[in-house]
Amino acid sequence: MNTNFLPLKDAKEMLRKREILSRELVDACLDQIEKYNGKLNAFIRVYLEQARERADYLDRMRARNNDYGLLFGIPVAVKDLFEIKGQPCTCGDKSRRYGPISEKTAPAVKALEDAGAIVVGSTNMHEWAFGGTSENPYYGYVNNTWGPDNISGGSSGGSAVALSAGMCFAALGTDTGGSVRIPASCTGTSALKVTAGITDGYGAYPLSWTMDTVCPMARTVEDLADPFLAICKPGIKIPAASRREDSLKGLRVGINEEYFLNPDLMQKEVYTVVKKAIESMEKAGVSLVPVHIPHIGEAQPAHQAILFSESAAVYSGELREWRKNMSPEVSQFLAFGDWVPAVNYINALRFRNVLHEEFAEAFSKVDIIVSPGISFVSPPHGKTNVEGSGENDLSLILDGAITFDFPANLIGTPALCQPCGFSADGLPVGLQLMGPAYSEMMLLDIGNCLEKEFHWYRHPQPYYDPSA
Amino acid sequence: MRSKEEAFGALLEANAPAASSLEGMDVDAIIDAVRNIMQIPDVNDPWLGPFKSITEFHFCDITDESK
Repeated sequence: MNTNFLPLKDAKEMLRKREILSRELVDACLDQIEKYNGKLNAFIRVYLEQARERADYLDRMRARNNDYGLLFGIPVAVKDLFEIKGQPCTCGDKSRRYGPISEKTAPAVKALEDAGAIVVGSTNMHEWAFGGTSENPYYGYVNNTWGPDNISGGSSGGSAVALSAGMCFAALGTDTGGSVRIPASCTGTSALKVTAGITDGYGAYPLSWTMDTVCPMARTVEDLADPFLAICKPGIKIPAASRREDSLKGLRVGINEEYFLNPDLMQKEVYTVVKKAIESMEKAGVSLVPVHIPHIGEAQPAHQAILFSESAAVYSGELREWRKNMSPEVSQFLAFGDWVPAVNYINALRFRNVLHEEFAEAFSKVDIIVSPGISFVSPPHGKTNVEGSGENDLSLILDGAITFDFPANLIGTPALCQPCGFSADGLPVGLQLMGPAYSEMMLLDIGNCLEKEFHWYRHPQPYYDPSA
Repeated sequence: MRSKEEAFGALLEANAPAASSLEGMDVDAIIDAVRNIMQIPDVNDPWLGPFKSITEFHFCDITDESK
């Protein structure tokens, strides 16, 4: 039996019933990594011995009826931005391949382990998380399972591809402007950008202290709930979903045609697939409600002012030396931050208050606001721009890749990204559902309903399927 | 009285870290980035006040004392 693509709940159930051992799940994931990581570059380091030892230990615990935790015996992967005691943490930087060695494990990784998860490896990423392609010049371009010459998206590209290729059951990523949602869109997987502050970012190298979020990633929305609950900070009470779990009827879906569903801001193919998905939702009983967010079209400079300034501040002082080892692309972004006037940074933070109020007004009328996950389908490697349907090309470097994603970081609200169909070339298209602060369970509930109703998720067909 | 160029040169010297970040960089790209950032909408209103921390935005009680 091929266990690599089992739904998480089925894997848990089989473990609980003793129909399978954690060791078997781990071995299957490690075999998959052995077979395909050379082509996909999803992992920077794989923890063969540690993962097997931990699986054996957890199997012994289970044999004594000592099983506990949401992810007991489940193989997971973490972006190589999280410190793991005894391991290097490369952040995708060539100079950090062998060290420094971390003295502590990041609380989010520890939380997964406390829930019983087994970390099989640390995943590849866009260098220093500063980009959306995961074309890492040092650890290899992360290749998309749906087309090996196409980008995986980023910056948490390795985590998304590890999921898509059946190398783990859940993964950790980080998101400052779309870094879990972009790769989820590109690879047909799911990711939940969480409300600011509800997961612990300590031990994950920062880009922007006020916008970074530690986020769960999984193959499907259904699989996201357990890793999400596992990494919430202790003491955080997540409001339960406030609506019926089995129906989309009565759901109020916010439609913003000026920005989030503006065809000029995305590829035509993306618009067609997302529009069709929204029509399907309407047929299933949701109400489409127009929403207006007055300043959304002008908000991106504020995101950039905060991102560049805070990242330049992170890598200033003694850490400025680290910039010498970074690629010119990343150094350049940090240099931008050195030149943002403090007045603009402060006004960007003040603008955030205004934008937050505008979203709050919109969320008083609707449950969610929908948009594409990203504005394009995964392009071939090596491009800096792709053709859009408007007057200008869409940039893959920053603005085009994060058009629909950065607002949730700017105002600190959650957003779920899940597949909603495929392009003519068979590449996945992502749908983003944005909700008000702390609405994660509602978003997961809605995403789960969509998944069950429309079956938008499917496994990649290419040669990575082990049965092929 | 210094000329504008001299004054800017002196200011640049005073801000040595930022000046050093120009070395070897595509200065046009930096100029473009700064120009873009200057486009933050002018929502200035004295009553808007200072910024809030991002968690201050949300009024939902998220701490569970029972845990």
